[in-house]
Amino acid sequence: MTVKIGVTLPLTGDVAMLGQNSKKAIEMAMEDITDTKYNYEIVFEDDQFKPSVGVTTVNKLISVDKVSALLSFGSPVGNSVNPVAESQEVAHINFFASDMNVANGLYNFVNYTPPYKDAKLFVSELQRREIKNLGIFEVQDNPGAAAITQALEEEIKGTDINIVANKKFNTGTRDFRTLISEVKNENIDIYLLQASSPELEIVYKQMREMGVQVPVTSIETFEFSSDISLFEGSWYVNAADPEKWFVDEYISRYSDSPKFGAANGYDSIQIIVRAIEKVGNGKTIPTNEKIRDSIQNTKSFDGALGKNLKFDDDGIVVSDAVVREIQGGSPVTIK
Amino acid sequence: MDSIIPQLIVNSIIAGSIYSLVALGFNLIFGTTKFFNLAHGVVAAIGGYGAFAMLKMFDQNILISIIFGIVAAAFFGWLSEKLIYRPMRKNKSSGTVMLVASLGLFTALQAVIAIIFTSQFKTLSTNVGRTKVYEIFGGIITETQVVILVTAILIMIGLGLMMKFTKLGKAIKAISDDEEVAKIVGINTNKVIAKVFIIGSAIAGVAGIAIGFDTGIEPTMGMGLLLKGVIAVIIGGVGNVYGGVAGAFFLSFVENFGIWKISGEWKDAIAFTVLLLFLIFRPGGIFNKKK
Repeated sequence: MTVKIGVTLPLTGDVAMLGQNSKKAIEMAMEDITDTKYNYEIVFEDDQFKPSVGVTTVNKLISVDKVSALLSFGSPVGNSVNPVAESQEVAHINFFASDMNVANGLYNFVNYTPPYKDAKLFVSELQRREIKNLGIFEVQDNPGAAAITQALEEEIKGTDINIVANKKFNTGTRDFRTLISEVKNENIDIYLLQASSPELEIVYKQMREMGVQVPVTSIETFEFSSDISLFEGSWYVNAADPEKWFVDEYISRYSDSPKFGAANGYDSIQIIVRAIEKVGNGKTIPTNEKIRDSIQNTKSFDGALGKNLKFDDDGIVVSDAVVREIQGGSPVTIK
Repeated sequence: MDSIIPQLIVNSIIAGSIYSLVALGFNLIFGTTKFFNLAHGVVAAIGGYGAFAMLKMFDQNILISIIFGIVAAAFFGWLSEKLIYRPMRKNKSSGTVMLVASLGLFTALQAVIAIIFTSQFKTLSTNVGRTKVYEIFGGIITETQVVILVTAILIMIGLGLMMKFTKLGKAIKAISDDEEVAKIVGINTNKVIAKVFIIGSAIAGVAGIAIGFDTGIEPTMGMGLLLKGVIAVIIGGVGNVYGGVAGAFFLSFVENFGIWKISGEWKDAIAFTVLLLFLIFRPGGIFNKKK
């Protein structure tokens, strides 16, 4: 008996490198699972990191491919998959969402470092480095980036850190010069760049062209960059690091380092498969309700992101953020 | 004077130059054919990708790459006129039908670009982060932007001279006034319109290349460019080539000064609010109260 699991990922588009990397991690996870009652078929779809495309791919996965569970990637698509999964009663884990609203409902889960963890570590790092004045460039129509900024604003309350300027823009903005002009002469110690590629690289490039030489940092977004070496020497806060064994296995299999989100994808597909194995008899496919309950009851899961992983009451696997620095063109965890 | 104002003026002039290039070609084609050629946006993208292919994929020098990009845009503009719009005009298709056809062409060509070059953002610049910059009254302008500005000015002057002093310019005006009368007086309208598409598309190609060097290119860039170009055209007066340029600069100044006081996320909302205001209160554009 074959159980189908649907995965919607950005396999093309500006963050395709992350989607492709996660696809490999998911394939590796399936090869690592042995002795199962069912055969598993993973159906991949490309959502280009666009919510509207995500709705189409997930509807296709449910109605045409008849998948028993879903994986999605990132807050924008996660938010659009959420109501579909809920109404169709198909268990859905998003493994790259900072927006915890993606886990709302009975059938939706998130396996990603929550924004309050990122924000807490980021503020403590600012304090450790005695940075007082923060400037922010933030894409306003990405729910993940918005969730992180909101958590940061909460965390900063009561500290001596000031958000001197928070300049918001829409995805697709290519000319940041007026926004940069507005903050150029402000007393800012560091700029937080909350945007994904290509806005991230463009705003940085235009800042430097306009003579803004203040250091930059990010919460996760540097890892979205197609040219991470641009940010050489910069520190930033990132979602949880994978275990060493996962990194080694990935490199030996693909001769490439796992990127951001790959370990979350690896764990998420294994959580789904183990949940199905737990409640299935190998002859009939368990009901969607049973699969959902089995996922929710996941406890002591040892995965690529560590040991004893479990879902909290909100359907979120909570993992700790780390501090990283770009050294020699690559991210290195320093804390 | 507020220290930010010189920079806002520089930013507005640069954005206005690019909008002008799109508006010039769009207006030229509209003025002659009387239909909104939505494919004009994707022709700009073709220019950018043509230059990108030569520069980054075939390692050609910048000049050859730019010329190739412009020729590619002009060729596709001419081809669309020859294979799609001319037969439709012959069949007396309405402006609305031709607009829909141009939208179809836009979508198809955008998809082809994405298939060939992927949908990832790419830059034509070979010195990212090391561009030479100049300061004018406190406003910073990059070397690339200076080139864009000078190019835009030269194209505007060149087009103006062509329209005023050449036979082609006079023929374009004649067709613009009345195509049937132009035919009666012996103007080969198909030939003139083909030339209009070549010139208009080549200018759009220059806009695409300029953006490629200044920020970067992506397959979907055409729609944003087109919308700004169309707004500029409506502000300046549809069919009025010089009005389009004025509209482009008016739009860029309103956008850039607008987001000085309100958040940057409102930039497009500002542009479309200006469009609506003009459509309601001054549909003929800046220079024409009536219509």
